[in-house]
Amino acid sequence: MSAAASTSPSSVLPHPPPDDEGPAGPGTPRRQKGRATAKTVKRPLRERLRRDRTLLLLCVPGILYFVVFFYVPLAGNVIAFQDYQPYLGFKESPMVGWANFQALLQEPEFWTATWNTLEISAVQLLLYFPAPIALALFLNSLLSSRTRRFMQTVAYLPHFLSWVVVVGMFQQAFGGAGTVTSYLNDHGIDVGNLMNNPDSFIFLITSQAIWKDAGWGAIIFLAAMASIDNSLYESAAIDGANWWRRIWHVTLPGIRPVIIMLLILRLGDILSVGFEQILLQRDNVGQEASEVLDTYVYFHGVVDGDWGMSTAAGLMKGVIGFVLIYLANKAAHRLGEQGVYRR
Amino acid sequence: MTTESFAAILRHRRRHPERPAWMEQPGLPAQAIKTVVIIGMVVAVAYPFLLCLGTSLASKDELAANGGYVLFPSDPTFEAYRVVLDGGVVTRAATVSVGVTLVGTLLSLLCTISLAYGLSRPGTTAGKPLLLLVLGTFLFTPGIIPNYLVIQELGLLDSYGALIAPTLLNAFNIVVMRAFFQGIPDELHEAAKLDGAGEFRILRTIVLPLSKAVIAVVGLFYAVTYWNSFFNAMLYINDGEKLPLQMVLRSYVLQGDTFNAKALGVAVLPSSTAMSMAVLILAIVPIVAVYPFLQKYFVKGVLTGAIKG
Amino acid sequence: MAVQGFNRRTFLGAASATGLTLAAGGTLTACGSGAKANAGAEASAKLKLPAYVAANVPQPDLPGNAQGLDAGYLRYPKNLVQRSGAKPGDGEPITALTETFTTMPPAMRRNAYWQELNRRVGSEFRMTIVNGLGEESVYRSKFNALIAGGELPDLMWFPPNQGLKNIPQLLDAKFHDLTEYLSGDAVKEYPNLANIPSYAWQTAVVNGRIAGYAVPYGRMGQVYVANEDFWKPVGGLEFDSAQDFFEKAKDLLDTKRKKWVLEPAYVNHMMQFATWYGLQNKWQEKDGKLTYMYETDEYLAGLEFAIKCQKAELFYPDPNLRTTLEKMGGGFLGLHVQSFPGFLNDSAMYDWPEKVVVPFAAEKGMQPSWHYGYGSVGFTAINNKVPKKRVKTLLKVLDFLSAPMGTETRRFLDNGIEGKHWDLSKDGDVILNDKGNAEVLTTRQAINFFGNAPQSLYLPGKPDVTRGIHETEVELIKIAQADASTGFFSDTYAGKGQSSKTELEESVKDIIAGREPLSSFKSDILPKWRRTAGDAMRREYETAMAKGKK
Repeated sequence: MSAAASTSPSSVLPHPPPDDEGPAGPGTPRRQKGRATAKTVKRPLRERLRRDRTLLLLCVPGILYFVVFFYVPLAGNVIAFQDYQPYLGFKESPMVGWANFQALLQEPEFWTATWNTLEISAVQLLLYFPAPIALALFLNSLLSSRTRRFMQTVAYLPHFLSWVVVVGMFQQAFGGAGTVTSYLNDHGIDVGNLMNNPDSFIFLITSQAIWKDAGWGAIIFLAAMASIDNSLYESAAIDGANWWRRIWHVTLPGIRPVIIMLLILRLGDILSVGFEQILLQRDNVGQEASEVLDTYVYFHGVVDGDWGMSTAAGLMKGVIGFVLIYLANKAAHRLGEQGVYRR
Repeated sequence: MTTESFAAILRHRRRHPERPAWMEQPGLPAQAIKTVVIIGMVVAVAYPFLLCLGTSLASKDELAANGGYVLFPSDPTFEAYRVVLDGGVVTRAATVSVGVTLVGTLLSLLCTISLAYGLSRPGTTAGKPLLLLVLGTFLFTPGIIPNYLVIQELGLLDSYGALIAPTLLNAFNIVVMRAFFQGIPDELHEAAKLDGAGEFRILRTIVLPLSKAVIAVVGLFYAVTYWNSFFNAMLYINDGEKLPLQMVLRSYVLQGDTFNAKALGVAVLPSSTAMSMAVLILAIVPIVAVYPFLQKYFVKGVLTGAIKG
Repeated sequence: MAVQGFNRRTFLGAASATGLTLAAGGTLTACGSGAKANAGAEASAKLKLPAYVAANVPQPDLPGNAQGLDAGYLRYPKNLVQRSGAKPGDGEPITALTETFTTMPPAMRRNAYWQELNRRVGSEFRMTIVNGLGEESVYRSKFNALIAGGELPDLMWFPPNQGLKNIPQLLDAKFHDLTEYLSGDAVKEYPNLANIPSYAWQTAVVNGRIAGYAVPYGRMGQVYVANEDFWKPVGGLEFDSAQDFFEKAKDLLDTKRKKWVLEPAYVNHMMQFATWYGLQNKWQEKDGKLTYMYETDEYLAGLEFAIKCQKAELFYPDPNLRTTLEKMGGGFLGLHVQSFPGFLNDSAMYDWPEKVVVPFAAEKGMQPSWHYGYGSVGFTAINNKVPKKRVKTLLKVLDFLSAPMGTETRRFLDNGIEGKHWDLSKDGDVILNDKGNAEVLTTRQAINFFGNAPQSLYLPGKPDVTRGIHETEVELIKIAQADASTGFFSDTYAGKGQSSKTELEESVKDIIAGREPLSSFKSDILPKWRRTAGDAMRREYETAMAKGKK
């Protein structure tokens, strides 16, 4: 660690280092102002390749992997524009232009499904996305390392239950014949069947998602918090910041780049919401409330073996996701954040 | 009790040994809220798990008498576990899963670290297009058939390679790892460069030791993926002896309960619900047990200390 | 879980466990064996199905018949017919693609049963076994991947569900036409194939040709299974009318004690109710016009009755019930719908008194009905890269695998080697031992998907149960009806049949649950079904059938 010994950065991870103005104290939100090293003067390509050869070499296995195992088979997505017949193969199957896309877009049910998906995504962004952060903050505030580790493990356990089991458990508690429901009914409180109510379905699945995955999602934030320099807390405390102000001015800024990165990635995935979870509860609330994009494609493409249509839907989702990530990243840059990738 | 006596207790509470000197004692309401949250979480998680465990230990008759689930079986029986574990099929599959998870996670981490680091330095030639190439894999999906053809062309069908290759790298993990790498101050790089260190040495001697937390996290993500995956086995594995645990366990509960119990050589059959729950417990206990060992890399301030030291 | 779409879980694996293999009802049988361009309809109609010649085996204890009644054996038959002549195989390995729904068999090198099978066949069986863990699309994916990859096995099993498109073209391009080998009297060269009933062969006809070997399977569809004890307080399972049923069910309902009457699979129950009104089985013809069951008054009557039951809270309140059998056994539920083999399996496994409610007249003077299943599990086609002269060899091998009950070969195929895999009990039953269970059951299941004998009833050590089931079959067959479109094909059915059916049923669930009004069935749902698939299917079937009559 000799190289590192000479410096004492105010904080290590995961936000970018402060610029020349010196370490930003607590209370001053950090803004990235571009990195000195990024201002590379354009040098001839050959020279640059030579300079970066180690880095590029490090990229080779991974990139090669993606090319072979991802981009080569991705070429098979051409069937979105085909009436694909396995016995004819990708080359011989007749091209049908945009027909598969049209078949999707002209169905009103497709748009209902899309709207439902967006609605669920929005609610989940609002309620589910912050849950792991809140949980991580809570876990991080636990002083005793034994309690903290125990609680971390408890919180992350439900992630390993399959949706079949999770939905079964929720029904066991809150269904029409569920224990909680019966208990309340016996005490004169009529809550109805919470599992079968189409109006509150969106909140039901969000709470299920939180129960199952908040602990799992918190891991990454815990790792980020672990990288915040303790001395920042100390100096904040000495400056008179109470626990809440320390969270607001030290912890949150410390993990902000990670939050923003995950938020942007989530935006790219906005058209996918828990397929299995929703499919399992379709009979509870009916198709109108529970039809999302993935279930629509499943019931109208996959069960009929319509490869072209399901691939077309996948491609559309990818393109929209790409646009959203691009825009969100742009917006992040505007706000001085680094986003998923740099300008 | 009056408020005063509460306050008195508060004053006299022992200071927690792990509480740093600068940190104030929390107020009683905060303490109370924390306790409530902790108890709430434990109950919300423990209850269903105990229900699974209880059910897995219950007899067929008791489950019928209770309509499906039992919290505390009156006469616990390990029959369901015996049925699943007898015959060596599950032990064999567990070996496969442990092997695939270990080797796979190691390979995944190696490739992820090297790619994430390669893409983490600013201004690298072709850095941005390469990063976009990685991000693209996050957004699009190749179909099952083309995937199958690739695996077939590479001669990986019916080999352990087919259980590792499809999930070897994950764009999300790469992006996360890269973000953490980028959080390491440039000063460290500059200083190391002045000392004449190459990028490879910087990675080895500076970046990696400072990135234990993220390596633990990403390693866990990969390990869980390998451990839980069965879809690739379904498509690519034909030899019964190369099947991973999840696949074998799932095949026990999903289809034909009697059939499976019989195939395992048991005359008296446990309830299918008990078997599903036993399978559930068996499938998650090993991977759940990994996490507590990783948590030591999450301890606050470890990294700072390393740098300063 | 007997909700629609999950019935398949018990359809083969479960049945084989009890020593028999019978027809599944529900989703499996609801599917055709694939597409067929209507250009070939005429040819299909003119095709001569393989002649039926019953195999020469010892008389069963309970007779079967050509309508689908299964022969029953109270004890394992004695005086088995010994196989004579050369081994069917040619010494070259035989490759096959098949499926299993359960545990994978031990690998060939450690599987005495598999090795003995190879020895008896005279060729090594190299099976690629797909285990989709209950997800149907997995087999379909692997099937299509193999086709796209171009390296096909000798024998390829075509499942009887949707999702395999343009089967006629696929067959033309990649598989042998078996008509010349099997049509009419030609099949007599393979006595065990001649023993396969005609209703099974109908499902292997595509585009006027015999596309493959019809994998025989029982013809029993879905049954309404009750816990007899549950119904004792109201005097058992005899009902005068639907109203009588309703009132008795209401008497038994006791939500305070968590007792409900009906398992929450709305559509399955609704279909059973409708048969009390005499619902027709899928497509039926009248004066050259086809109607589908959705379009009948009986369907609507069943739907109305289901709504009535739902309003009276007879259905268990949570649709996601995964412990139906426990609740049935514990007396928390009174009725559930089960596939026939599932019912057999349950009666072998559980002690509570299971009884099939045979459809009764909903009102005085009405004629109840019951629906036959499909009668096969698809067909096995032969890769056309196999040289012509080897086709006969493969057919001989399939003939070997079709050896019926009462032959020594069948006893081996079902149970393995005496002393190693099974022993004869003192009552004269064949009882599998641990090794038999581990090797024979798992391996046999994969084989039964592409080669099997016509069904028979035999439950080792349970002669009374066997007799009872046989009696139930007799009762059901008295009012049984087959789908008139069996043996005819429609492109639309292959392409949209499954999704349009699912879509309609989803809406029916909404109606029963009270989320949509009953009136929407006639105003929206039925017209939509007609528009997306129904009318086109009708046209295609009518054309095909009209040509068939000439």
